[in-house]
Amino acid sequence: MDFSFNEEQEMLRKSARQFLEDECPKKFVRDMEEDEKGYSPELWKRMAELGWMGLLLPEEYGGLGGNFLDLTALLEEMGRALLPGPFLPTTVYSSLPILHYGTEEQKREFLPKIAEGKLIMTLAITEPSGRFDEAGIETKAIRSNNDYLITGTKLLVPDAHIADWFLCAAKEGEGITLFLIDAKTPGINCTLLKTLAADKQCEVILDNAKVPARNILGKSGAGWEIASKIEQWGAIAQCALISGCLQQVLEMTVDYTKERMQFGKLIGSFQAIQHQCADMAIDVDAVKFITYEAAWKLSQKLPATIEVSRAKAWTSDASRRVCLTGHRIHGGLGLTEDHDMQLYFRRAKAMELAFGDGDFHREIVAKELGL
Amino acid sequence: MDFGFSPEQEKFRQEIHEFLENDADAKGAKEEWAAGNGYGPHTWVIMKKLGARGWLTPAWPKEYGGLGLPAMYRALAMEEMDYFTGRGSRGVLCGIGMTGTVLLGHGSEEQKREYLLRISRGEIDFALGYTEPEAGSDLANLSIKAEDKGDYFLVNGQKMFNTACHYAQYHWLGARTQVVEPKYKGISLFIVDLKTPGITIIPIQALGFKTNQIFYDNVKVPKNCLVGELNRGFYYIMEALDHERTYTTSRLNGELEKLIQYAKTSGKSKDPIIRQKLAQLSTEMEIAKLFALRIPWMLDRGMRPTPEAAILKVFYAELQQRVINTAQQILSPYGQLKKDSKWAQLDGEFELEYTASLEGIITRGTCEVMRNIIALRKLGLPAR
Amino acid sequence: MPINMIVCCKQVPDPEAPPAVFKVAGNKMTLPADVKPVISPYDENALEAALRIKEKTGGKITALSLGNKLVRDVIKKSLAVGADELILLEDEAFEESDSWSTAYALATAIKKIGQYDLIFCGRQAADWDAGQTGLGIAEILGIPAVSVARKVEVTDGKVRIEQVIPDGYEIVEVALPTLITVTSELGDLRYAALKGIMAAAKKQPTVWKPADIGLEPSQVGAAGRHSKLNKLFQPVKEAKCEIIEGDSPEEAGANLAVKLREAKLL
Repeated sequence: MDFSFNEEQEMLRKSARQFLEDECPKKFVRDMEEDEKGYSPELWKRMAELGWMGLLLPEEYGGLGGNFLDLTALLEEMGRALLPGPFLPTTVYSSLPILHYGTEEQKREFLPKIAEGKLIMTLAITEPSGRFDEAGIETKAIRSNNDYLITGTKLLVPDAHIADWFLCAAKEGEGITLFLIDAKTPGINCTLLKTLAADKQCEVILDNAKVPARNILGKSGAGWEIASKIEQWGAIAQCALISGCLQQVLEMTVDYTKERMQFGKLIGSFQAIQHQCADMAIDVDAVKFITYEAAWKLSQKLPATIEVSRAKAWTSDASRRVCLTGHRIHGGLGLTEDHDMQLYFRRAKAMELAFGDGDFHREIVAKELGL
Repeated sequence: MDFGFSPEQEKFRQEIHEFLENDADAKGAKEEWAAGNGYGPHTWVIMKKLGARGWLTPAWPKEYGGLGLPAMYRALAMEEMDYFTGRGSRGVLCGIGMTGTVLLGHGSEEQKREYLLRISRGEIDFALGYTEPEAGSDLANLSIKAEDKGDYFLVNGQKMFNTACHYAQYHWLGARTQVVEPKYKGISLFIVDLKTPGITIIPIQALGFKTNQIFYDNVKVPKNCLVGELNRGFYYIMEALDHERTYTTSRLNGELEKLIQYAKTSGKSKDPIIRQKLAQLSTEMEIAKLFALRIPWMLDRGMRPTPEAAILKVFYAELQQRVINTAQQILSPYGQLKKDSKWAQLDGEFELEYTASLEGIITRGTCEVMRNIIALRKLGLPAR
Repeated sequence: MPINMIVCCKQVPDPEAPPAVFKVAGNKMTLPADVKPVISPYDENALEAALRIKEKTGGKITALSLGNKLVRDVIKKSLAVGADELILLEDEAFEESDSWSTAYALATAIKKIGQYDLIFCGRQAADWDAGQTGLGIAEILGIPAVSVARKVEVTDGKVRIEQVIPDGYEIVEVALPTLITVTSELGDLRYAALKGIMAAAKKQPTVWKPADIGLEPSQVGAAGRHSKLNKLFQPVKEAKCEIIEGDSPEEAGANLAVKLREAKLL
């Protein structure tokens, strides 16, 4: 048993925190909400120079051979800073499946470019059904000689409007197949959706988009196995973001109770406030441990289905509790748009909903328990 | 980071597990314990057998009957014992967890030789003597008086809810030796033989367990029974409480496993609401387990886990309530049937637990006091 | 020509921590545990100066630090950003050093390292702000020193330094070897890239005890101090407000001038 990050992860965390404090202040976060792209190509380039895009990739593809715990340390800092942009869609949702299921040719084609920050990718799974399971996929892929024609609607695709390539799930006969699709393919239409967190999620309509058969990721008809793996990776990545986000909400709130006076006293001296803060601290510790345990399992290449779902179930619910308590303690001030609290409150909801909320993951846990 | 155990640790755990599964006296001890009456004859036998192997105090130095192992081994041993004991397991025992901890740090050499070996061998235990009618959460308010009479201390007053008094040999007594402000600066710790003349023990039947009040009437306590320095008792108490708030989750987890099994066999697991609830409890159990293991991990790194022990206590005790109440909901009308009733399910365990578990949110510092500790000591909120 | 550089990096409590958390008791400063250590910011500027020269001219950077129980993930940042080697003078005997005993131990260690063309220090450390150690090292080694540099370039065996002065800067040229203290105008230390961090985590620093540099424990740390701390205290700041009156603004102004003259402020 060891509950601490190692030296390398601590160094990564410190370095990332400093970088993001300097380069991703809340003004930037707010600007990006208004910005149509929703990210800064300049910052993206600098993150790539620091090696972040290649963290999980092996050296032969221009990466650094890090593991899921290293990533967790980095993601916690990104969550703390509320870093906008296509980091997870490009890395965890796209580069990781290519690494694990791609052909050698596909790996050589995509991975080095991703590591260098020259390629933005995203994952197009969710559809109007709003479901996270195989039955939710209605987009169709029809074979035509050496190509496929893909038709359907994908929803809430993160950063699709700036992506160079999509990893897209479509129904082929009775099975699901994953395709790597060039975003410039004729027949693809992408529209930004207005969202709670003003993050950039899109509707992507594919109308007979022609994709060469060599762009299938993994085996034809066996794509859901990959998709569920991606959902697992995505879920734990979201947990790590939430963890960093909630740690910051806790710190911000506790700091506020130490300076806000009411009734002639610091509000932090009232037990009503103290107990709420204590409950936040318990939630945040729990979020960390349950997330770290799942990330550790993944880093050790151990089966982690139940651990990941426990983590996402718990963090999803805890994020609501912690953010809500944060708001209660900040009072009216926290409701103003100038205050950071509302940024966290809105972002945390997006993280909660990504790759399944608490109810969704508890059902997976129940299955794993043999219920 | 590492969320696994080493092969040595697994082997250690397995040995204890097998011993408890197979020993002839273990079953009898389990029944005595489950009845809520504390130690009976079988328990004393099993304690001695565990003690002979060093398993009661694996983290103590060898010279005092321990195995000189890291605190993580103690947690593993406790997990196995609690899992085995099941209902009625009281977590940290006073002799091992409180007396032992304080004596190792602050006791005289004479006291260490006199008591530690016997504690570690399972020959004696102590009854925790802190709580009084007017000193519950506000422990510093205790008033039982110990006067220095030159050759001895003269003790007069009353204690409440001192649970192990009817079977332990010694009282681990916190008494006032000086009337002073702040109050915690006038408290000292004593070891008192419970057979000393002037002591009267009166049983109290509480919900699901037996406890006692205890009266001191001009009890003479020898000078060499003072532990550590005079008037430093409260500091020792606080130090040892971080250990006493060490819980293992294995017992509660055992109960959850039974409940999950019941849901499967009774067909109730098809109900989506029950599936959600059990999955949630299993998630919270995993968190509680990690919170529990954080304590020995910190102790092994020389860190003092005060707010961390408070977090564990709150989370564990409140989870216990959720487990019991979910069990009651799943058992539905059967939940109210007692152990020996016709139609009782799961041996009536959750009927008993429904009341017995209330102790969990109160004892060793209420959940509210724990939240104060977290707020003040972990988050640094202002005391006033 | 590759240059051998040594950069002195001190681990200090984070100077960004709010002043209220620093407590003084019994001539000692205490800190809450949540104030994390960092490399002193001016020392980071010094490290950046060395890294820029290494990029341009080539060379080797040895980071050197003195203290006790130095936090590895803090002090190894020097390796993560590109220093080639890290040497720690680490022992409890080094605790409670003053500027002199620090400079003496560092200079002795630098002699042991042997080869050096440039030594960089921050202009002052963020904990005590004394600003003497760097110049002390140069004095002990008998080499020239230039303080408060905002730009450092090496050409043809010479160093060209832009030294900050109150109303601008002046350009100084020195022969090697020399010691330079660096100020913040030089620029922030670069961020550690992941690759550097991973490599740094695998590297172990060289640890020297006093005996390893040929010194007795009595010559270093608290025992080796040349200065004595008489009193450490937090100054009490008092502010008083007095309204200067007058029948007209001109008269109030005149009254104010009189007051200021009385207070010898004019």
